[in-house]
Amino acid sequence: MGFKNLTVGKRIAAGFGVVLLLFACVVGLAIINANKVSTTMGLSGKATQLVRYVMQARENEKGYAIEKNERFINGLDTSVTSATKLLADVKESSSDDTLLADISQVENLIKGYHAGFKQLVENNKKSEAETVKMSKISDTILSTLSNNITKAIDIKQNMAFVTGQAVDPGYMEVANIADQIAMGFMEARLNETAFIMNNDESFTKQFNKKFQFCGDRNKELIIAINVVKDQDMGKAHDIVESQLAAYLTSFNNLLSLWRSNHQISKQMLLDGDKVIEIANKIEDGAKDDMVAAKNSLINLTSVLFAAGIIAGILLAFLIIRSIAKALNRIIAHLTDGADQVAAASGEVSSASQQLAEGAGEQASSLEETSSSLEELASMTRQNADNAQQADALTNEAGKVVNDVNEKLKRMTEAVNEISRNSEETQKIIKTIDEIAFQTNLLALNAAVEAARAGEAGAGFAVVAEEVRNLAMRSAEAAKNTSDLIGNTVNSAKEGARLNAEANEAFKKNAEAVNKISDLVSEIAAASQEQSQGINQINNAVVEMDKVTQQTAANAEESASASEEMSAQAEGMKNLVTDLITLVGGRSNGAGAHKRSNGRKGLGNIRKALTASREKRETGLPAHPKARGGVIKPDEIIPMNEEEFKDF
Amino acid sequence: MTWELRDHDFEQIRSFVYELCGINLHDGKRELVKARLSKRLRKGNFRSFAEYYEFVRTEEGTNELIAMIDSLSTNLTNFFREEKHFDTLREIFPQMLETARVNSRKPELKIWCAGCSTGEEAYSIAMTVNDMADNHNVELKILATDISTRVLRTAVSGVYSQERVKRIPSEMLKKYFQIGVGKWKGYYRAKNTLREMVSFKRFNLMENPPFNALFNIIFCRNVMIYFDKETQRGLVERFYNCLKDDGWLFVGHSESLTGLAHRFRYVEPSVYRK
Repeated sequence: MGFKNLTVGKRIAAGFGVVLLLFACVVGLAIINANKVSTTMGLSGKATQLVRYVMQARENEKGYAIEKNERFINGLDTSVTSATKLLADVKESSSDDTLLADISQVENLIKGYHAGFKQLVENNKKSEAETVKMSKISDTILSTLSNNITKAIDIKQNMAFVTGQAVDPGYMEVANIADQIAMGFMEARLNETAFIMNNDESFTKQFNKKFQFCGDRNKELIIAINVVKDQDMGKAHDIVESQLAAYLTSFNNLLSLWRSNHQISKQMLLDGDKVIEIANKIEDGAKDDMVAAKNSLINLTSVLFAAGIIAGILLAFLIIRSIAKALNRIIAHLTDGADQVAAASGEVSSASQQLAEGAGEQASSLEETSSSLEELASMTRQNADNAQQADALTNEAGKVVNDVNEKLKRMTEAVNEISRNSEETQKIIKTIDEIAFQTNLLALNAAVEAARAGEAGAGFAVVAEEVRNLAMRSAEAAKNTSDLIGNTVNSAKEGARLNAEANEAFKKNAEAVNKISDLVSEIAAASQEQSQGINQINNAVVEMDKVTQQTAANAEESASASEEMSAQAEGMKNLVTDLITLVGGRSNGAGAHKRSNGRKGLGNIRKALTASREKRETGLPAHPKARGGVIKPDEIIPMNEEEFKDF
Repeated sequence: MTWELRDHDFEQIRSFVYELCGINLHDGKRELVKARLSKRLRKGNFRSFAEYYEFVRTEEGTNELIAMIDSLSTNLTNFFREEKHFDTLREIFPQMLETARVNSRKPELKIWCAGCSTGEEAYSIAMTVNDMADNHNVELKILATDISTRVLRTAVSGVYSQERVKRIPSEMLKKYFQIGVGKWKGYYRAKNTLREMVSFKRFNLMENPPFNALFNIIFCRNVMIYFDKETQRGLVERFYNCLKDDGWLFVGHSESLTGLAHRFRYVEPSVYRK
């Protein structure tokens, strides 16, 4: 799916784009509708205006009807003109057939109305003329009745009173009838006035009745006049009769005008009402249009809004889901990665530490070896010196040996001399021994003789004994001497032999010394070489030492670097936790990563991370060398006896 | 990050260290100085060896100075290292016990283990002599000193990894050590009895020993190799003065008093007597 390959930005942009498009639609619709409404509102306003014009016309019409003032005619004309102009405007700006039809109708109506009004004005003028006429007629009638009949009779009576001549009683009847006619006529006029004032045709009945009464009375009048035979009065009666007829004619004219006007008014009312109705219809139509526009706007907006919301929610859901999915996948990978990096860096760290320790130890070892070698080298040098000295001494000894050899030779001679002399002496001793033996024998004989001599020989016996003792001692001494000489001889022989041997030995010794000398020289040389060799070894060891020191230092460095890496990995873990919090919703490990090979759920990871962080925070006191949580026991002194037990 | 150890820096450090503790850092030790001090520089965020040198010479740099000496001193050691000396010790010690017992009402024997490092040598000596003194009423006192406080901490704790104790004969290990459990698995600790026999102290062999008692035996093995002849001679002389008459001096197998003016009697290679 293409969407999957889009960047987050593009995805969000696409989502927002769709929502914004919908929003734009809503706004566009709103604008269109607003325009429509505005137009409709204009129309509605114009319809209202039209109604107002109609009302104004009507007011003028009514005003005119009441006051009959010219200004009302002008006012009505103005209203009609305005209305016509308004209609023309509307007509011009509209293309709606119904509306145009309506407007044409209204135009016609207004034309009719206007025409009606003109007719009305015309009629009114006629009516006015009739009224004036009627008023004159009325005056004629009444004055005739009064002056020519009633007053004339009064005069007659007054004259009769003066003259004492009796007045024909028929006059009384005439006067009476004349009064009745006047009264009736006036009542008729009252009704006429009421009719005109009230605009109520019903009054005409009463008028006609009264007028009929007047007519009837007038007929009676002539009879009564005929009774009195008064010609003047007969003439008066004729005048009244003709005038009444004229009056009735005028009245009928007035009535017909009134009726015409009434009709016209009615028509005008109808026309006006029709116009108002149409205007209202137009206004209502406009209102309906507006409502329709409003409703359609509301509906469309609602639909679009709903669509927007749905689209928004859907897109948001899709985008969020796609992003969250991707993020979750990333998080899962990151978590794994962070764990692995943490684990790996921990291992690297501990390995580097071990390496560092090992290298350090090796370096120490080499350093000690190197130092030892230096010591050895110096000792070897010492040995070489000593060997040289020994060589010199051996040479010295060789000379001594030679000397001794020489002296030994002379000694051998001397010993030989001693040997020879000893043999000579031995011979002498032998002689002495023999003499001693002889003396002993002699002494024995003398003793025997002395014994035989008895008492006398006692002294001799003692002497003999002494001699014998001496002889024996001589023999003894001789024997001893002989032994000694023998020994001496033997010794001399031995000496000679030893001397010879010594000689031999010294010879050998000389050789040995020579050999020793050679060997010591060799030792000296060897020691020298050894010293050089040791120096070389030492140089090599020093080189090794250097390398090892560097290795140790590097290992230290990499240990510290991996420690740093460990910390970074921890930091990364924390970031991942933050990311998990950010993405949210998947805390129970639902979703992508759970499906993927049953990896740890994020919740668990988070839990684990939190736990590990807590552990870090609340755990053992941080030891400067306790890297990555590994505390080396030999770095702190255990205080607790229980931690160690006997075997 | 690596720092450059310039000739001048090296020269300064060399002479300073020599003056301070007699360690002879000749030209061959250049890499050693660089490698071991780089760690300190990294830890303390120093920009250069010169800055570090200036710092350790100040009052506030005392702790770092100790750390520097700790770093520069080599602490190679092992249980029963150079074992022949222990054989010799076993040969000569009964006689010493006897003599001590006869000559004193409160008999005691004192051994000084100079340059004890992480304590293995001191404990080796302690175990060896204690085994022989079991039936004798002789108090055995072992003083173990080193210039490095770092190693002394380990020494005092008496805790060693399995790797380190493997040269101790199993009988001895069982007798004198406890085995770690739980988080101390794979570690061994010297029992109290053993640890009480040895007292560890920081001491610079360049100084005159402040110890008032004279020693019967001094072990100073593989220490002098780091010193030059003159320093060695002075040290041997001080050892001589610290020993009782007929007292023994054990030096490292590669060490010898040959070539030094000294008053000791030679007994066998690397063993001398007053």
